[in-house]
Amino acid sequence: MEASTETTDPASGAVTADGRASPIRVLLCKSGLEEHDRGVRYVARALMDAGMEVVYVVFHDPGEIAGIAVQEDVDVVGISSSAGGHLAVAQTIREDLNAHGAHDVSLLMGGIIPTADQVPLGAFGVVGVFGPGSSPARIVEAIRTAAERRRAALP
Amino acid sequence: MIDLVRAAIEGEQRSLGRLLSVVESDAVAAARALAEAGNVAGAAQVVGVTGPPGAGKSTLVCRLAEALLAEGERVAVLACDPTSPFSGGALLGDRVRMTSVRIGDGGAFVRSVATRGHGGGLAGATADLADVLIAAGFDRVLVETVGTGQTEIDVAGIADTVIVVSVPGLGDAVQAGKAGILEVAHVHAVNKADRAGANRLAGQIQSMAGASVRDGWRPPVLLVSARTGTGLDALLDALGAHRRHLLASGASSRAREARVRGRILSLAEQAYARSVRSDAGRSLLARQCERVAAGEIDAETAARELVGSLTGERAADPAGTPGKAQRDETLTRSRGPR
Repeated sequence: MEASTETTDPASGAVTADGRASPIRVLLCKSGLEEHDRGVRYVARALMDAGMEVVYVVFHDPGEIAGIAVQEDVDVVGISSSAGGHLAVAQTIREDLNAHGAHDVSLLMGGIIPTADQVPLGAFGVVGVFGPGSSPARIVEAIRTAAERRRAALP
Repeated sequence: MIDLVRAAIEGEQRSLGRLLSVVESDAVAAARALAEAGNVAGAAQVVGVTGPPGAGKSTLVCRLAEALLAEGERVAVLACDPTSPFSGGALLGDRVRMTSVRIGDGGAFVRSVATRGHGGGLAGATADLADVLIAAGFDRVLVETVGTGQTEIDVAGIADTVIVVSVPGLGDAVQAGKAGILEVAHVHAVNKADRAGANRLAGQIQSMAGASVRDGWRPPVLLVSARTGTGLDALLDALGAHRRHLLASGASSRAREARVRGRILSLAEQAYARSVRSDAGRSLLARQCERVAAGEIDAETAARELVGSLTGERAADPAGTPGKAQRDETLTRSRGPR
């Protein structure tokens, strides 16, 4: 495992608003159809170590996710799914988020995702696709970029 | 801000989620938002659920929320988890136990809250978050603390009714009698009632802590199983009974008053801290340091004069920046001959 070059400064990962700490919030969803969750737990740990607040849920229907995302006011939704149907899942979540007015919440997908699906996923606001073995630093960076973009545009 | 508050208290989900974030991260904005939302003297009951890690708080909160929703009530949940003192991050994992609770329109509003460095079992903003939810018209606001030890009792200051959840296997009769968390209970819930030792623990709590009467209320000790639902009806009845007791005794506004008091105090302390750290505050401090070093005054006098100058100037200018005339006068006074 590559050594982390990130500091453990409590301020790291925090996007300041009015000078007060306002950490990045991420909704990390794991499909309930799968048993293996070591990858998701590893990512959750990496995000926590980067100073982010991670709301962790297990879902059985992608229709559950957008409602949670707006109640929790997250910056980014990360979905871990290796059971296929990624395009349908991303489309459902994107449409539901938009129906709530949350066009500014980006999606990240992790798990086993066919390369052929990756470009079409972009149409649903998926800003990163991370297969097994992805560098946690890259995931953190992708989330941070998306979160900062969202925060900058908030009134 | 005004539009956001209006949409939030009308129940628009994204606005309510956004408003909670604003309130969570900015105490001054929080006070303004609550003023905008108006004084809601609603009949909302804030129910605190606390207890050690692994006691089953989240599962119990889930059960309570489901039962209250089934009775047609509007339910909100604030679920707290600790922020890492090293990274500033947090794993907010209480929600994973609440997937069976219907959310959204006609369902519950569930919000995960990180403590963000605050001690006491809750986040510093929890009182403000609860008041936003009350303003939004929820009938019950369930507040779940982090896994608490014996001394983290902030929940007692913000909740109308506190349920303390205990589990068998963590201690003996003497443990049950110690000061702290057990004393703040309005209702004791001994969870995992199917486990060995549950009845004995209930008896111990009954004899040491449950026998006390506070404000005319004797806390019942109930055996429950959040997993199977055993004892849930009795728990709901106890919540209702305590709510009626508070209304009858006139003590129902005490928790709300405590939240307001805490808010004013916290804002005052922050305003003072800002003024001490302002440019004017720092230059006054530097002069006082010189005078102490020169033996003109002692540290206690220096501090008293500093407070006097700063609060005197604040009274003159609510914005907190000392006016020039006041500043000149203070400098002259501090430089004057002894």
